[in-house]
Order: sequence, then C-alpha cells, then structure tokens
Amino acid sequence: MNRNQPTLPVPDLRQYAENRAKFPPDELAKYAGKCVAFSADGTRIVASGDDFLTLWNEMKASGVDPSQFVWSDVPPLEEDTQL
Amino acid sequence: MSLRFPFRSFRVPHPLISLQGRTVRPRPIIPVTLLGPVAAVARDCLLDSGSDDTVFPESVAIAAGIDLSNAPTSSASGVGLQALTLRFTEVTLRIADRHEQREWSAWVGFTAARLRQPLLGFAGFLQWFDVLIRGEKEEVELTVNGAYPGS
Repeated sequence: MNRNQPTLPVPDLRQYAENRAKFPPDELAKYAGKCVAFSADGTRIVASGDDFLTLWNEMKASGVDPSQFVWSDVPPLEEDTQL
Repeated sequence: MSLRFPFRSFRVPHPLISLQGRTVRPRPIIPVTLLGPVAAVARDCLLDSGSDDTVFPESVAIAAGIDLSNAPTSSASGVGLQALTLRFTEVTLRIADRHEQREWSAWVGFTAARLRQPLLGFAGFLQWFDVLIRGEKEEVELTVNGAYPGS
C-alpha cells in the first residue's frame, strides 16, 4: 500500500531529458555549487539558490508553484570527479 | 518499449586525464518525480548501480509533505565510509521520456546528510528495470522487467 499516493498536478517531463542534455555546459557552470530549478521542458533555468528547500519555500511564498519545475544540484567546479 | 536518457555533460576546470583530455564530465542523470501527499517534487537523480537503495535528501520529503517521524531507519555508508542514517517510507516515483511514462511505488530512503544528487540505487529503482548503458552514445536505456509492479 502506498500511504503517500496523491492526486497532484505533476510536471510534464516528456521533453525534459532530451532538451536538458543539450543545455550548454558553460552556461550551467555559471551555477556551480548552486541548486537550480529548470523549466519542465528542460530549456531554461528559472531560479537558483544555495539551498533547495529555501528556494522551494521562497517560490511558494511568491505565488509560484515550485512543483512545476525540475530541481537540480549543480556540482561545484572543483568536484570534477565523483566516486 | 523503453525509456532513453542522454547523459548530462558537466564542465570541469581542467582536462580530464582519464577521459583523454575532455573538459566535460558525462554522467547518467535521470529526472525523477517523487509524488508526496502535498506536492510532487521533480529532481535530477544519479543512476548509481553501486547504491543498494534509492536515496533522496530529507529536504525533498519536507517539500513533498512526507512525515518521516515514525519511519523505519537503517544506517548506510558511501565511498568515504562515513556513516549516515536513512529513514524509509513508501512513495510513488515517476519517470518519462518522449515516448513512455512509468510510475510505481517504491521504498525510498531519506537522509539529512549532504548528497551531491539523489541516488537511484537497486531497491526502489534498478530492481524494476533492465538497464543498458551505451558508453559510446553516452545514453541510458531503461526497460521495465518482468518484476515491474507499476503502470
């Protein structure tokens, strides 16, 4: 049984992976070490900040539904190798 | 049918010796939507065949409205062998590409420890898929297997 089964609006991510993979690495590098919110179609960054939950709550407080975006942590540049 | 996800490219500050001098690091990142009681949270996650469990940061549970106060716990460790606590609950996960969408119920661990990205490990994710990693194309192909419980 799934106790958390909701009936919620969810983002349509059918285009996300393909478009997101084409997002320029140099543009993404400007957000190194940050949490970013991408548009659901993966084409643009709509918000960025130091912390996911802070950014999520700020967006909610400003009347924007944060669940319509894809949240991504951009690794710091010095973390060029992950194990 | 299967779902295909191109690798993501991350700029690195110097040429990578291990990748013949490339200046971007390719990684198998997959967008996953976690459906909680009050919100759906879509996060980019790392496909990690070395992870026993599927793990999200606790901040995602908070955003999704998941109460972890009575959740069963276990301890885990990563490459650095530093111990961390996981609190487990059952959630709905969803993935999609241009051609296919899948949604299933999964036991997911949540941690207060810092994660680079949420981890898509065996329990809750890889156990339900046959996975083909195309190194040359830098692409992951997921095909639901016979044990897949979702829709």
